[in-house]
Parts: sequence; C-alpha cells; structure tokens
Amino acid sequence: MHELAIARNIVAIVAEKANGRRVAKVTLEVGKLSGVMAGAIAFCFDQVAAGTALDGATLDIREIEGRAQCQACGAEFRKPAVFTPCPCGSRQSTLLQGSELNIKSMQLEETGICAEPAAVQAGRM
Amino acid sequence: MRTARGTATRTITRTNIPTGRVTRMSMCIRTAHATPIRMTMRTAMSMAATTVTRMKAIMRMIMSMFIRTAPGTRIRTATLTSIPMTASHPAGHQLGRLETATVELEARILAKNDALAATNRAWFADRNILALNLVSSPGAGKTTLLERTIRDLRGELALFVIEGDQATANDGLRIRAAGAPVVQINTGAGCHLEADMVAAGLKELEPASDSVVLIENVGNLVCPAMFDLGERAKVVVFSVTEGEDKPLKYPHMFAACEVMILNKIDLLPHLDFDVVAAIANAVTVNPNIAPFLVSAKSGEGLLDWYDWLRGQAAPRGSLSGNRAV
Repeated sequence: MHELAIARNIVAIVAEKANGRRVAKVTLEVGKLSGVMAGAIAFCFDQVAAGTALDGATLDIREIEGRAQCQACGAEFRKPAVFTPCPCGSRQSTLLQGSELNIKSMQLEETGICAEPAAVQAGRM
Repeated sequence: MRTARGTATRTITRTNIPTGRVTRMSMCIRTAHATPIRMTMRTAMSMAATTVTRMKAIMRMIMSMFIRTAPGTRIRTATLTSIPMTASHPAGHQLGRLETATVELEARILAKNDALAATNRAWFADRNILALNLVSSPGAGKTTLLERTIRDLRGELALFVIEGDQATANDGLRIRAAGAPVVQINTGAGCHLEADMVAAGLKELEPASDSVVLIENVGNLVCPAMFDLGERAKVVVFSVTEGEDKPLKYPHMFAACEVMILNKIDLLPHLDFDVVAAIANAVTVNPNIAPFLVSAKSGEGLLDWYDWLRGQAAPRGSLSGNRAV
C-alpha cells in the first residue's frame, strides 16, 4: 500500500521537473530488494497521474537485481532475497545494488508545433 | 499565426498521441494571401496505418483554430506531408532543440521524506533526545509495552509519545492515562507515518531536552519499513501469538530494525510457539538484531529492555559513541 505514497512522490517530483510541460514517459529504477512491488506502482501510477502533467504517461520500470559483497570472504554474490546468505555461509554482507528507488528520466511530450518562418520555406512545397 | 500556434499547441497536447518513432509532418495552408502558411510539426506518432487519419484530424483542428483566431480567412487548400525523421531537415529548422526530449533526473523517489527525516534527526540530536520508531503488526502489544514502560520508568526517564493510527484517539488516551505527554496522529487512509507527520507532531508535543520520544507507528509490518522518520532506531514488537516465520515473511521490516521485542511470553505455556525458531528466523534476516523476550502484561523480561533504553538515552556528555546494543 506504500506504493500509493511512492506513486504520489514520483508524480510530484516529475511534475515539478517538467515545469508545465507534458510528460510522455517516466523511467524508474526499482531494486528487487527495495521493498516496493513494481506492479503495484504501475497500478497506482495511472490513478495518481490523472489530471497532472503526467496524465496518460507510460511508466517504464527497470528492475535491478540484488547483489551484495560478503563481509567474511569478500566475494560478490547474487541476493534474490533480503536474507540470502553468501555461498560461504556468512550472513554479514554489504548490499551493492538492489535497493534502488529512483526516477531515472522523463521523456517530455512534443510541444506539438514548431512554426517555421515562412521565409525559410517560401517557394518550396 | 502566433495565436494560432499557441492554441494549436494546446490542442495537440490534449489529444492522447501514443509515443513511437518520431516523425515530422509538414502542413501547408493556402489562403487568399500570397504567402502560404506553412508549419512543420514534430509528432510522437509512429507511421502506422491509422497515423494519417490522426494527422488529418489534428490538421482539421488546427485549421478551425486558425479560422477562429483570424476571422475572415478563407482556406483554399490544405496539404499534409509526413516526413520520416531520416529525411533531411529544412535549413534553419531547429531540430536539435526539439530532440532533447528525454531529461535525465536521477532523483531518489523518497528524497523528500528522507530530507525531512534528516531534519527531524538533527532536531533530536540538538536536544539530546532519543527517538525510537516502534513497529509491529496490529495487536502485537506496542501500546501495552509503552504503557508499562512509562509506568515503570516514569521517575527516571522523561518519556514522550507520538501515537500513529489510521483512526481513533484510543491509544493516545491510554498513553496519557499511563502518565506520558502524547500526541495522536491519525493517518486516515495512510498505512504508515511519514517524516512530515512526525515533524508536525513534535511541534505540538514539545518534548524536553534529554528525553525519550517513542513513536508508535501504524500497526503494519510492510510500509513503515521504508519511511525514515528521523529515529535513532526502529524497534519491532513481535508477539508469540503470531507465527515464528514472521521475520521471513516480512524481511524488510526485520532487516530495518535494530531491536526485536518478542512480547506476550506469559502465553507461551498455552501455545506451540517455538521461541528458538523465531529468534533464528529474525537473525537469518538481520544478524545484528537484538532480541528481548518480554511480557508487557506480567513484566517478565522488561528489565533488559529498560537497561537497553537507559543505555541509549545516555545523558549529554557521556560516551555517546559507545552505545553498544
């Protein structure tokens, strides 16, 4: 249910950065160990975005696998769950990636028309 | 033309054009004037079969806008040409400016809450206040534990409480009856406390310097794990009437907590709860978690919890860096 709060944060941050322009697409980075369900964000997003600069925008969620470094043997290993131990058996590890919860980029919708000076094209077409 | 441009821009953005391969289209409207009106539009449409129909619709809209903003104009011909992006652009067309449509943000989604939490943390540090964030599933006994702690430590530590619940002031009233100043925050639909709610609560609560602020979060083992409130540590209350595997089911919360209070141990004789398995599960998720076995009702085991609290709430000037759990 915190995905709703997260979707609100996404819309607030992007709308502020878009500064009145329409947003066509938002790209997120969501770590698989971030405690956030990508599907639940997508579910809330459309509702929260309605009536804002992000209305109708597509959401591109890039999930990032968990990786950690073992504090005992120093090896780097995959961490599919919060409590996955190092293959050496140690549970003391430092998370390297997988807790991301970032807005990577936004794609602004075209402003529609670029009226060119008639002089430039006069005589053509 | 300027007026028409502005109006048309709004019209186009209001239509929900699907994104795809970028295409330019060129429009030419010939009127009674000698100079035709030409516009190049850059659309976010891909060149699908339906695209031309859409372009025509947009053009009709623009023309009607144009007629409305420049009354008396008679349109003789209107032609539409779509140009794939690979085609060379006309000279003077500032395409480069338009192409920078993707903006890198690299913004952390919870940055606002984290910044407010940092402000709260600094506020607590300035006043040498120990702030703890108590989390649990509903009914694990957070409020009972607080009541008991307040009654037992009243003369020794200055305890203040922020109570978070979706609705009712029931818990706030219980804490007040136990003898601690309390602020009740109702989150309404919200499933967790956020840093700004705590900041507002602190303004009202006005905790004294060198005191302890106990923040009782909304009963929920999922969402409060993600929202930093500015606390010194999170404390999870887990009761023996729940399953031993709760730490494995809610690993984010148990990983985020420094202390686990296993409550209601007075009920153990009536239950099949395996204490060793429960602690093993908690340590699996968080090897640094400090477990306390207590009964907030009978008082059993509370002295260890109180010792931990006293150690954390060390008076100003003491070895603040030596806060061993």
